[in-house]
Amino acid sequence: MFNTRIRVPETAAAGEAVEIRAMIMHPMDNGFTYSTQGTLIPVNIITDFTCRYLGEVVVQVRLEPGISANPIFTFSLRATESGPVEFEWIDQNGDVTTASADLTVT
Amino acid sequence: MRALAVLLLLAAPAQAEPVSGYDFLMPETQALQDDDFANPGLLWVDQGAALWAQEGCTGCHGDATGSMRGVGAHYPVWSDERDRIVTIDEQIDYCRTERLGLDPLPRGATDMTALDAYVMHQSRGLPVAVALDRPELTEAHARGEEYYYTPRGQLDLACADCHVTNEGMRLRGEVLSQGQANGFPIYRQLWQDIGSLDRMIRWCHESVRAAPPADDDPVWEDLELYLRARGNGLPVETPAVRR
Amino acid sequence: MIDRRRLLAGAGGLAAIAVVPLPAAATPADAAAAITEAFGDDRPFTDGPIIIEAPALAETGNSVPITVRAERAMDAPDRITRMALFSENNPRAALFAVSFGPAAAEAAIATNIRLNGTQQIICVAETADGTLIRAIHEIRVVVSACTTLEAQF
Ligand code: HEC
Ligand code: HEC
Repeated sequence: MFNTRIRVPETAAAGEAVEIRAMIMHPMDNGFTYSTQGTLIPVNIITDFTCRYLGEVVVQVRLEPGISANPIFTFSLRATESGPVEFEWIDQNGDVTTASADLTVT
Repeated sequence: MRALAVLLLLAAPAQAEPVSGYDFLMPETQALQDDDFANPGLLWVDQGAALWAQEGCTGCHGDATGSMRGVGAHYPVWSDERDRIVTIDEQIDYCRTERLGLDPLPRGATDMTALDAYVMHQSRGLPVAVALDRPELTEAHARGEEYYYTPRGQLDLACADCHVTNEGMRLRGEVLSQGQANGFPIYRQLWQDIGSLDRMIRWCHESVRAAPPADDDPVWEDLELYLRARGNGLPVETPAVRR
Repeated sequence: MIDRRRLLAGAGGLAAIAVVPLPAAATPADAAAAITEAFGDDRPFTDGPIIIEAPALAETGNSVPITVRAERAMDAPDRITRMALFSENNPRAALFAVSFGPAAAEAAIATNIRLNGTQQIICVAETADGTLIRAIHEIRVVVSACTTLEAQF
């Protein structure tokens, strides 16, 4: 599990487009950098990010080493009814980090 | 107080108004620093908040947003009890080891930088206000200043050669700032990581191919005191974002 | 006044400390190959309502804010289902790919990317009825991500 920051508004009107933001603490080592000792730092990246709302996919992202460290994504979902907004990050070793927040639809 | 300020002004060598490194950045980088969600340094502020609770700082200091407001803006300080200058990192580690019985954190350890960022963040927006109101502090400040103006390394450059004499100059896309310390720990795009003032000072030594002082050399405290006092009046920006 | 050459050597970023081979940059041909890998090569590109927003001049290639957005409703039969970004000058051409699910309000996403110098960024989008749309955007970079790599201690 890595540290994450997510932003989901607490409430939204039905039909509203809601901005969602999600960030994770991760170096996204791209395999081209060298340590202070001069050794090559191997590739170490988050490969997949998914956001679901009421169990349905909002966005699903495939990340490459060209994404900056501490990847952040901003996108929007269409509010329909109250329920969870869930986030999942998977790194290249298959380790999963999750976060979630509830959205109340009025 | 006023008389003291006048005296200090007279004593200091003629120096330009302090300008934050923020003012030497392009608008997107400034916007990233100002974004209360996306500023990547906030990931470490969050980590510091978690450590604050986990390590037991709450037991004595309660909620940091109240108890630590303004604290970081005054550091380094003189401690009579310890008979030495104490930087903010050293104060945090003192509480950790002496009061909580935890193992000391090495310089630059991520947890140390996270706690530093969390404590300094509580002073965000307040003016840096390092006091030089006793001889131990003015003497240390003078030693720090001497270090700052002494050329070193294969390139034989002093800190001041870049950050005073050539302030504002463009070097291969870099713009030399005054090298102020009001944003530390900073999230630096070059590192793609957070970095303490310690890490920055080491980087600047490498940039002139000089060895940084030994870890236990008291000149570290002198230099930090000098650097932070140089920025008196600038707002604390922690976590600042820099190139 | 101190000598400018010495200053340049210093602030230029320590190239002499760790002399490392720079990774080979991708070429427009590599980008084209990566696009073929992702979308096949049997469909022509059309123009469409894809907008790439990024600063015209980025301060550092280590992190360039970028937004890709399709100005087309998500309930249209030709709504955008997938977008992918490619670099013509990074060591790897593929930057990221995103699929938009049924809960998305629009086909738009923002993130930060690494750019090895001034170059064109290509966005390819696929619609629900199988059409491909391509958009191209040039970004100038002051300090590229890859020439500063060796200065990252
Ligand atoms: C060869 C030129 C050079 C020398 C000499 C140099 N630095 Fe720097 N320094 C830089 C560059 C380049 C940066 C990053 C851009 C900027 O803020 O100027 C920097 C940044 C800094 C910063 C961070 C500024 C901010 O806004 O966050 C501090 C603090 C600093 N230097 C302190 C020092 C100290 C202390 C010394 C002497 C030990 C020193 N520098 C010597 C080039 C130099
Ligand atoms: C057992 C009580 C206790 C605990 C636990 C404790 N502190 Fe302290 N702390 C103090 C006292 C007493 C002071 C007053 C200055 C001194 O004597 O060091 C202080 C001072 C400080 C200061 C400087 C305040 C100022 O106004 O200058 C900071 C910063 C600080 N502590 C951080 C921490 C952190 C971070 C932790 C958790 C890792 C922590 N403390 C845990 C008792 C505690």
